Amino acid sequence: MARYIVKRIAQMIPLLIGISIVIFGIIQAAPGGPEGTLLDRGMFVDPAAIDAYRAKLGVDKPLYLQYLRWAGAMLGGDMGVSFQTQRPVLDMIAERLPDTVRLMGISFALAFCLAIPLGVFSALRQYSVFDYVSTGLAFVAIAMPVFWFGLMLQYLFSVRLQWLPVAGTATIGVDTLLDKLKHIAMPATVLSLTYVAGWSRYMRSSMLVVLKQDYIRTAHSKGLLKKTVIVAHALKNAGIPVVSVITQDIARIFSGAVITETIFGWPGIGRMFIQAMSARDYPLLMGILMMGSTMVVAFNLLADIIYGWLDPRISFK
Amino acid sequence: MGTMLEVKDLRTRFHTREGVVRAVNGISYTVDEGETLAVVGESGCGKSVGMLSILQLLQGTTGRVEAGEALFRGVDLLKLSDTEIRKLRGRDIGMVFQDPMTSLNPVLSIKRQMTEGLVKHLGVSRREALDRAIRLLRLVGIPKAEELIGEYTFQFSGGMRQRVMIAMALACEPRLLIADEPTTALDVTIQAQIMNLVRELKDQFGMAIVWITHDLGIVANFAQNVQVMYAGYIVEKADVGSLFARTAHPYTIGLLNSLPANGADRRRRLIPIKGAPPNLRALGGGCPFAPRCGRAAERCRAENPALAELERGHQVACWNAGEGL
Amino acid sequence: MAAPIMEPQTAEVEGITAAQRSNARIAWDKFRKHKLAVASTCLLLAIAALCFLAPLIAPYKFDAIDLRNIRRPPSARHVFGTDGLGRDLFTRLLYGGRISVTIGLSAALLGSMLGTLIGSAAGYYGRGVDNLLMRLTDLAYSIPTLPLIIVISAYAGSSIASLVAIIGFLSWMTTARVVRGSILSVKENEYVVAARALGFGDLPIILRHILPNIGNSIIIGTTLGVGNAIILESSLSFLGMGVNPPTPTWGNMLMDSQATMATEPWLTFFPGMAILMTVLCVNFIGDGLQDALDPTL
Repeated sequence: MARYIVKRIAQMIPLLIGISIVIFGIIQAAPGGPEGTLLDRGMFVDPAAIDAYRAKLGVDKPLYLQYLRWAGAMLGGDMGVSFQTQRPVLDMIAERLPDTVRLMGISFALAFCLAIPLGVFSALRQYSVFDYVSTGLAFVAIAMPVFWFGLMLQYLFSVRLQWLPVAGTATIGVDTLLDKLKHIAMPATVLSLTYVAGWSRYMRSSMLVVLKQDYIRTAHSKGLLKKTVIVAHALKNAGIPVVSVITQDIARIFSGAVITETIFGWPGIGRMFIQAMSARDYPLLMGILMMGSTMVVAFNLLADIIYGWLDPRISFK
Repeated sequence: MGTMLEVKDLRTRFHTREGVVRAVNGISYTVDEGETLAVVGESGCGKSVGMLSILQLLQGTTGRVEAGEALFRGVDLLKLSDTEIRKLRGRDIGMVFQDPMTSLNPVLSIKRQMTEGLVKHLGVSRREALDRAIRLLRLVGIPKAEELIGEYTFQFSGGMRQRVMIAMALACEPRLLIADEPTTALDVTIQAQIMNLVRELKDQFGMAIVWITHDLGIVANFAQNVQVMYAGYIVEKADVGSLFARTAHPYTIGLLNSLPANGADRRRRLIPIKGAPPNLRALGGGCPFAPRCGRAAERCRAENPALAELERGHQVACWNAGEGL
Repeated sequence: MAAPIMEPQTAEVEGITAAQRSNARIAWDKFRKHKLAVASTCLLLAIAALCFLAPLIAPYKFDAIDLRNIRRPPSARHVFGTDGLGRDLFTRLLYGGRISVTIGLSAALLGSMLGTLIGSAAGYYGRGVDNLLMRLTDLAYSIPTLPLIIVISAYAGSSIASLVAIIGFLSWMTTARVVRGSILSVKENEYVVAARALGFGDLPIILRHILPNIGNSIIIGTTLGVGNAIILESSLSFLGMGVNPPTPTWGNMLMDSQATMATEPWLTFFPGMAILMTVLCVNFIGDGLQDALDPTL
């Protein structure tokens, strides 16, 4: 197991290098080159910030040297200075990160805790009313644009019923758990919906396959409780393919956060990204993209470890 | 010795989209304490389904037991609730399945799979269960059992896995062991080892065994009684000696003729049974074997014969039996 | 299976088409049994017909401003109501559907083509090529797609063509993996080995033997890709990075309506429903195709 984890970490490094090359390439591809992005901006940019950016990229140097400098600075935590605020990108990200992590974490947990039991129950009661209803709802949820679902929720719960606040993380001057929960309820529901739908479908079909396996019959023949057979024998096997789907969705949760945060005025990374986009604040955009990708890779590693734990055959290869 | 298991008129059907499959069609038999009964027949003749039926292991399939009783020490297994039968399975009746490659859970350690039944049925501590599991693995001939018990089954060969399965089935010292083609997926040499092992264990544990197989050849010096199944019916049953000496049913004769012989008449030609087993969705009223039977007459195609006593302890379901073969 | 290759061209062609015809027949029979998929096909065709015949059907012009009838709720004259400039919502939905569906279809096709190309190259050549392309796939999976598209579309502009290109270029990964997996398993089949032993070049082998075999998974993947691309387009438009007004798309109609949702909810409701219904139909069709074409089911 330890060797397996070390191997996965070793595989992460070239991946991160690849990602950084792509992101650097995007800066280079900007109209007029990297410094052109500064010049065609209408608003005032501190000349010192431009100079610092040029110096860091070393615009007169060969491309690979520019990349190495930029990547070296990234490694040292220097993601450049925001054009808008003239503050270090790293500081700005660090400020917004907790809110995003809270939203993503709660949504992820919500999605996981709903999707797995839903999928399992659907599989156990295949072709029952419960199965049909949850299948139907899953199809609708997958076909729905996330932001539209968010808008509809806002209309229903904020405009009409007035139960929940439209936006923000908390009411100013109020610091109660209930208030925070009220604020996060809709964003978390919206962000988790697609994943509840997708993962529960996947869990269902995986579980259906596993329940037909010989070893499940063996477990029943040993007289174990039904609960034990399902939880200990079936679930662990059925979970293996689901983990890889969840892994692939981690990157998409970040995309979803951009939209959700925009709709619900959630002051996280995603909303900052959209603001940076409309201001063409490239250092900030690149910083966020790099940070997001790193997070995805890190979560992938975590998923790989879970994978290895679920399936002992993996770590032996 | 007393009767341990008495199955009466068991009928099982599968309700599939393409129609009703009549898998088991009213079979009755008994298993005495300490007896070894072999159930023989081609694949799809209902021998496994019959066993799964009485243990209520057809859950999750379209199979339903339509009629019959299965009295195990006087208790009808078919009337037990799910919770009740789960108390009995694994404790009083152990099962070993055909394919050791797929019948063990690939992601749980052998320790886990060996001990969970012990902990549940006998209420022993995990520590005790582990000790006992190691002793059982040694008993079935697993070397270095205390080390290997922490491993996963994918690191084991087929023969070793089947030994683990047997150890698992015997964990709670059941009174009855049902083995569903346990050696079919194994090499011939391993097959002999496993059969010897089971014979030894049977003497040691004093349990009864129902051994399901499609190979009539291996039951001769292993079982006391044999019953031959065809298309969900028992077509012949007898003690081993009588069955081999005075084989009565054309199907059983066919099975014997298609076996490669040992020893003397090695040059004898193998005679396969013509045709294929019948479609269990469309069984007619006649003898199910009639379409493949060389001696089938008018009556055979019209009426299905019941089991009838040929001699003491030897029953056969054939209109032509007793008329000299 | 190797034999037909050596036989005269005509015999081979006839043999294959006859076999394909009967396969198609079986698939069609299975597809017909999937009632939801059949209903979805009909509904989707109806939606597509309405959208693409919009100039003939639509009751108004899509940019016809009518300041006397602004923000009218649904009524007999304007079945889905009117927007802040008095434009008929139903008309705009039809016109918007043309763009949204076109982008969805083209982007999914582009993505599938790319994915098939990359996946078949990786699966067929194996080793170094495979390793390189699969690492590239991992990489593309690791960068959050939506932010990446947003950044690229900022440079590339937001014409319909560039949106198709961007969405297509960033949605090839799943197809690539599926195609690679199928090729790896087909590649070991005897008829492919035989074809190679007979001295056929790589490309003819891929085209002739492998692609028809994995065609089913590509068809299914493309179908499901259409739904994803429609949603992605609407998300981009919603964030203001999509097709610019006044050309209506379902996404930018939603963006426009967001501010006035409290007072004119119908402006938000109907475009979203249009997306939902369309994508739902596409996905049900995909599900039906999966049942019909997947031999393992």
